[in-house]
Amino acid sequence: MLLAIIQKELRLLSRDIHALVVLFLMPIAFILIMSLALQDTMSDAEEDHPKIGMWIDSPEMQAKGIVETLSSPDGFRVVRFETKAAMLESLRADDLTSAVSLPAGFARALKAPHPAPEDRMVLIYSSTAPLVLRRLILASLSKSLAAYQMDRLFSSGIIASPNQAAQKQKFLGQSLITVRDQSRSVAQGHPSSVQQSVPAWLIFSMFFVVIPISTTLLTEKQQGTLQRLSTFPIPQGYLLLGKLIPYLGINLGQTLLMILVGVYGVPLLGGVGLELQGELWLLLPLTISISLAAISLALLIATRVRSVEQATTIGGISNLILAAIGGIMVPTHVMPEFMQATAGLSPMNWGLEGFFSILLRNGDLGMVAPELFKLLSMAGGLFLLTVFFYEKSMDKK
Amino acid sequence: MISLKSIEFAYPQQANLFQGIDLEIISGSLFGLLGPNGAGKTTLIALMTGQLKPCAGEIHIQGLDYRHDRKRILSNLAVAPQDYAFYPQLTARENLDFFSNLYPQIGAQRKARIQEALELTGLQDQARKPARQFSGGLKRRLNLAISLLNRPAILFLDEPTVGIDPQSRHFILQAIRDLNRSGTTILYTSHYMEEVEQLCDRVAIIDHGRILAHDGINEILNKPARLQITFDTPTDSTSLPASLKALLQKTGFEYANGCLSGLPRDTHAIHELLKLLEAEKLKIQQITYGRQTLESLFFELTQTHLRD
Repeated sequence: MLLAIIQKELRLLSRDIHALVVLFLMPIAFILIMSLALQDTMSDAEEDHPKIGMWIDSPEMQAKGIVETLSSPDGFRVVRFETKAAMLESLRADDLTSAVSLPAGFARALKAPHPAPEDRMVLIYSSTAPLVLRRLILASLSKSLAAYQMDRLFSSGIIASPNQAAQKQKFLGQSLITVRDQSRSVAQGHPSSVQQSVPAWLIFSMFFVVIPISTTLLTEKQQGTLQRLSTFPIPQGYLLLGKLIPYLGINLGQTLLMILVGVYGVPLLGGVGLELQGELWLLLPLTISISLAAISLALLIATRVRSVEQATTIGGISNLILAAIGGIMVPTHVMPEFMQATAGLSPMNWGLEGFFSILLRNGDLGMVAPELFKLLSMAGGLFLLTVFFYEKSMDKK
Repeated sequence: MISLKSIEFAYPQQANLFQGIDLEIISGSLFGLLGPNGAGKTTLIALMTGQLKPCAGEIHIQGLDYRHDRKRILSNLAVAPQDYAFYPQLTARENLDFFSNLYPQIGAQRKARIQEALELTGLQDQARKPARQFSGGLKRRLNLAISLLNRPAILFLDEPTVGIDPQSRHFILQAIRDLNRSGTTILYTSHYMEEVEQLCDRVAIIDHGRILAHDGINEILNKPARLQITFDTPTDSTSLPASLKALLQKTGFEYANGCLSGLPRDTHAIHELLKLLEAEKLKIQQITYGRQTLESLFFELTQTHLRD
């Protein structure tokens, strides 16, 4: 009996071309367009790393390998200049965070116990470089120099060791520290464009079940089909469950499809694909919770409005508002602080944060639980209201 | 049997629609429920089919009460509502397939029942067509077909022939007759009086939430007809000729506003009256006499003013 109602709903949906476009094509288009459009703004690309300018006075330095060592400080992008003047010009224009000039006598300075001031490397910070960044640049250059010095001591036989590479790592402290890279996004708290676009537009489209749900429910109401169904020997709760269950399936299907678009579709168009990491099984309870909240909201709207036009307008506008404040259209981290606080009022934001917790922050069930609780509470509350208004509307007929 | 005892019902924010309705519909009858728009026919059907709950009173369907045996009652009845209550996006067969699945008792006979409903309503050739492409007549037939799936003991038909062509109307009326002959109790509402006259064996006329007449169709139609004579020049009753006054007193006829009316005992009495009027040279404008029609009774009981 319930199966027949579910089958009927799916048949009706399969013949509603507008609903299919809104539920499936719209989010695919948004994911592809927005992932590519925001790629530069939100990417982890090298261009985003702080730039250090470098000018080398003597070609002798190249042969000694010091330039290569200095050119790979972690997290910075080293830009080579032909003239010192050009480098200083870029520094003044704020294109660089700092500038390093290696004088001709720097090779001599490396060996001397007390290097002459004119032989020393010169590091100039940009006037706008923050203090933390200045410290990082200095530490990074010092580490590079230490590594170079160590290589020189090993190769000249001053320090003898059967395992030079391991010794070097130990001296530099690398073998004494366990480094866990949770991705740059975690450190900064910002998702990349594809990490933002896939869950955001997926959640947005999940909430658009309001269109087919209200269309079918209102058509049933207006054509007297709902009244006719009340003369059949079936539990009346089946009629609402018969709407909830198929759309839950639709939402799960949307999730699978949008993730596949993120992983395989975006790279096909030249973008960076979505990387699936973390406790992926948590996506199931999260998707179910978002879906139940979206369907309950859709059912409530469908029972309160009088026409399909009203449902489409109210459902559409409320979705746009929830998306706008919830960090779907504009990522939360680019919002001003007071707007970031407002974002937490939108159920779409709860879902989005849940996705970020799983895919970006390696979150466990405990980390996603607050979002699940909020979404399920909303779903439960709205569903009870729907049942109340549904029964009231049936008595009025 | 369908039995309604002292039924009271009111919609929210609306005055009481029914205040103590009593009605009995015997098993196997083809019962016509008549009334102007807004009289309460559809509400009464909704109460009898468990869509609405009465505020007071008792409804028994084949001796069962909705409060205790809702599922059993609904398994044995069906409603063909006034609206096209099905899914226009689905084909006729898909509609029948869906609705048949809602009757657990049909079970393995589902395919046979769908075929039977299609044949009874002449929809076999249209089974694979989406219902939205149907004409008004085909839609009415599909509406009826859905209500035949469970072979109901009681069938409620709410204006099943409204807005369709004569062929479809004839087909539906014939199907209703056949169903009734096979033992189905049918409650039928319509605005077409001649349809009810031809089809139903019992009739109730309802208006303003009250049952104004409730009887067998023959009992209603065979009631003695009134003779009504309208004079060309209305005169005051005091200035009528003495011979006519004496005749009126003898026959029990009444005179008012230039119109003489009454129930004649036999044709001789009519003949005697006309002879007297000719002798007194009273000019006659119009004479009406004959068998009562359902329509005349309907207008007599519900008045002729326009309704919403």
